[in-house]
Amino acid sequence: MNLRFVGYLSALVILAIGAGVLVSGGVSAIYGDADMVRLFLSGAVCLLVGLPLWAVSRSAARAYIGFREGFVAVLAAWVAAAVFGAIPYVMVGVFGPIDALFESISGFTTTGASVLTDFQQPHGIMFWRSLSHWYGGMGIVVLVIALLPSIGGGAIRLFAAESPGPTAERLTPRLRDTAKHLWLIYVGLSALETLILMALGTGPFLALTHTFGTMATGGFSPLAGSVAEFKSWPVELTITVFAVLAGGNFALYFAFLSGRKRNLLRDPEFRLYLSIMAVSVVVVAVSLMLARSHFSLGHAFRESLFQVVSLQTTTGYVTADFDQWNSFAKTLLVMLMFLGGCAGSTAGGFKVIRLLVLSKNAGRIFAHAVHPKAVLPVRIGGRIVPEHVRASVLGLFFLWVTTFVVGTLLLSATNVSMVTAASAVAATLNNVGPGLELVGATLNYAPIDVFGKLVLMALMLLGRLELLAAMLPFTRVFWSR
Amino acid sequence: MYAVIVGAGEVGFHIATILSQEGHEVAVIDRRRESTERASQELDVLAVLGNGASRRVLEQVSMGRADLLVAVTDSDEVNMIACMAAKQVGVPQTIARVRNPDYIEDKRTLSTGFMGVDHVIQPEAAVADEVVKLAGIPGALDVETFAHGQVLVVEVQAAPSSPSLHTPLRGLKLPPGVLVAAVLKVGGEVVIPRGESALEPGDRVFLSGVPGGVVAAAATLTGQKETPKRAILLGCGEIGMAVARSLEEKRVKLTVFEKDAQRAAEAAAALRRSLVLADEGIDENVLAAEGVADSDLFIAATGDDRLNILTSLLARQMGARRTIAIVERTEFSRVVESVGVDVAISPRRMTASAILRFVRSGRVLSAAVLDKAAGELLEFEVGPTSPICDRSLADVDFPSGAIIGALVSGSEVHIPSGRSLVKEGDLAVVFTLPRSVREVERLFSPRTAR
Repeated sequence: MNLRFVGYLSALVILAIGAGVLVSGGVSAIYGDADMVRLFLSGAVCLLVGLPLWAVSRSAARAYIGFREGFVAVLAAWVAAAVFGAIPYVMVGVFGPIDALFESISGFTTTGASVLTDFQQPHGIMFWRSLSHWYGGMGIVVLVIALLPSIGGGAIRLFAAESPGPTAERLTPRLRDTAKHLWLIYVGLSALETLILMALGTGPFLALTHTFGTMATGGFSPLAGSVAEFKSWPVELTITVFAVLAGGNFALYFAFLSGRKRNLLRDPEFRLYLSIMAVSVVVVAVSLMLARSHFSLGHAFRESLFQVVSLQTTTGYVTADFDQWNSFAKTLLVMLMFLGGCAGSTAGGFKVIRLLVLSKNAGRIFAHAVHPKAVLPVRIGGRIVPEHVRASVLGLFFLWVTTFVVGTLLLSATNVSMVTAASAVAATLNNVGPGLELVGATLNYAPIDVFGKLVLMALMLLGRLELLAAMLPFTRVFWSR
Repeated sequence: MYAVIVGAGEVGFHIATILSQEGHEVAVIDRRRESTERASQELDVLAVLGNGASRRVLEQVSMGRADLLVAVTDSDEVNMIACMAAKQVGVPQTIARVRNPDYIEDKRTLSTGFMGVDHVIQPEAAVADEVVKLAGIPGALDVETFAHGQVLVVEVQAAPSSPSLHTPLRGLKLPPGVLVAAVLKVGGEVVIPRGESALEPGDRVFLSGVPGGVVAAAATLTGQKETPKRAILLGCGEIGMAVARSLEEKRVKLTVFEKDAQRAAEAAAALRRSLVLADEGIDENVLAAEGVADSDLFIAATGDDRLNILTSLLARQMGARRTIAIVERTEFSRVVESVGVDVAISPRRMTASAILRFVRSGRVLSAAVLDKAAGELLEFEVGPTSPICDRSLADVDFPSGAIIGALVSGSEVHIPSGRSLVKEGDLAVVFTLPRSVREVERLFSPRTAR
């Protein structure tokens, strides 16, 4: 194991976080808030740790990255991000260490599950809270790869460990260019959303923070009442559209922008993603009208659209307390959380492409029953899903369900209701944010006890790294030669 | 003509045999001593041991006066390089056998885009074409197209219950533009029928004329109406794959058996609408379970001739409506169709006849050697100096061993009678018995040519 490289990657991530915290300090300075000095101090701490670490480990910059190093380095980088991202909360005095770490992990993993109860906070720290989403959305490691002048052989493993879609797509011959292009699209869409929100009169601070929350499919809002507080239909629609985009595959957008794909709807994953979303919006709206007669058609659709998109893309913004909705709508929303967005998006969840693989795979058992010797490749959009990918999707599905079951069991031990436990685990494992009952749309995670918070923190990291990188160091095969 | 043949395997040997029998000068080049020895001992050809893709070897063999190079080794690359090398040493015409579709740039013209390769013969594609053509015509046992597809010649066997049997041909109600050109009797004798002759059970009939009419006539004679909806294919090697792709394009519901797991996986990947089974497909129960009894077409295309023949017979017995066996060895194909397999297609024979078509081009536009070499179908363009030009068939004393199956003037196809006038520029599809080939060729060739 090349520990020096693990240290090198962590150092770079810590430095990147330091820079972000300093920027937040700058925001504070603009608004003349009191937390400016503490934020600058927090940034300095990151630099003070990051720079020496970088200095001693930089010799490993071009080291060959093996399979183990790839996963360990990515996991270490994420843990480092969580820890150093928590420092500003403690320094400014918003949270104690455990809550700070919870908020930090929730930020970077783009979950948006919050323990914040007092929203009367200075601009700087709230900016940092949203900025952590934006860092984690496209991926801190991908950002580092994009910025690095060069990186050793096997860098694809870092990429794959952080964004482990079933098919790792290399858009350009050089991985660094791929990372750059993905970040550029991400930055471009973010800039566009910010401008539109500002044009709608939200002001630059709310426009930026909500853009971070949308494009990263995070869900932190500096407003206590989330997006509902805008009371603006155009703002909701803007956030909805960009959340849908953030839940799509960025590699697909790249192919579209570079002229390699003409029609995005030809992509089977993107098409299914949109179809499921559209059907769910209609079904939920109808269920709302049937269950409560005072919902007008427009009202039902408006609430259904925002909530369905927000939860399926695992963003987690809310404009309605869906915890008060009928049981059918709530159940559907939780299921959509598990589905999530497309691979290669900033969304969490199990991913639509894996659902496609699973369902096509399931169809085979019927064909095999009739034709025992049939050779039935799983085909998606004309391309054959290789056998090892098919097997790994099945394996991941088992792990995902097991993680959900174990997590729910552990959280139930903190004496919350079953619905609370299950929905909280679903909302954190899939990086959504709000759950039901105790952790419902208008409430937050503050009442969960320390043990429960530790469980949820682990779940958020597991979900963001799609289990593999986060679990691997705890397996026997990883340590045996 | 002096032809150089690179590769003296089955196909090369077959072409060398026919060309040398027709009186041409032939040289064969092969790297294997057995092949050159067999050629030099059994044929009147020059057999050279060596690499046919080498310019030095080609220069020695062609002696600067070869008219044609035919490259039919097992390797596509060697064949194409041999053609390029031949061009460099001054051979005017080159033909290469190319199996791998990756090398075909334009599917329609079969061009590789490589300089020096004039013509490409793709045996697998030719077989697939043949199967698809056969599949599209009810009960067809053999099929040839002429005059750019305006004329179709089909061989069918009249159903034993057909009302057309035992009645004089002139009493048959054939669709307009269709002619019974020849009849292959049960004993193997081919006759050119007259108006008063009648069909007997077991006779095979050659129908010629406009495609639509021929298809309708074939349907009446054989009692089979439908084009196939369900087909079963045994073996998915290169030929099987080409056949499967073509049938898929025709929207035929296809079940493919391939015993090799690797190849079955490749087939399943390439064929989107077909069911691929990793099974040998010779077990009666398995075949029954996959619905042989309801299948319209059963194609056996494994690499094993005997297996293809036997499974075709089995499928036939189990109720498959039509069976096609791919039989490499031409010796077998003679027997196969007489024991109950409907059609035996020999890729080698198809390759050879495709190459011969090129060899003969110039005099004859298109030619097909019928089964058992009992007759030939030739297509001619009538030139201004052809003896038959501007005269009627009765005038020129048309040979009795030949018949004009269709005459195409412009876009009009008609069946000529004795009084029909043959004009310059007409295309004539002529069915001829071997004894009349020379006489027919004389009538259609330019007067100055010989």
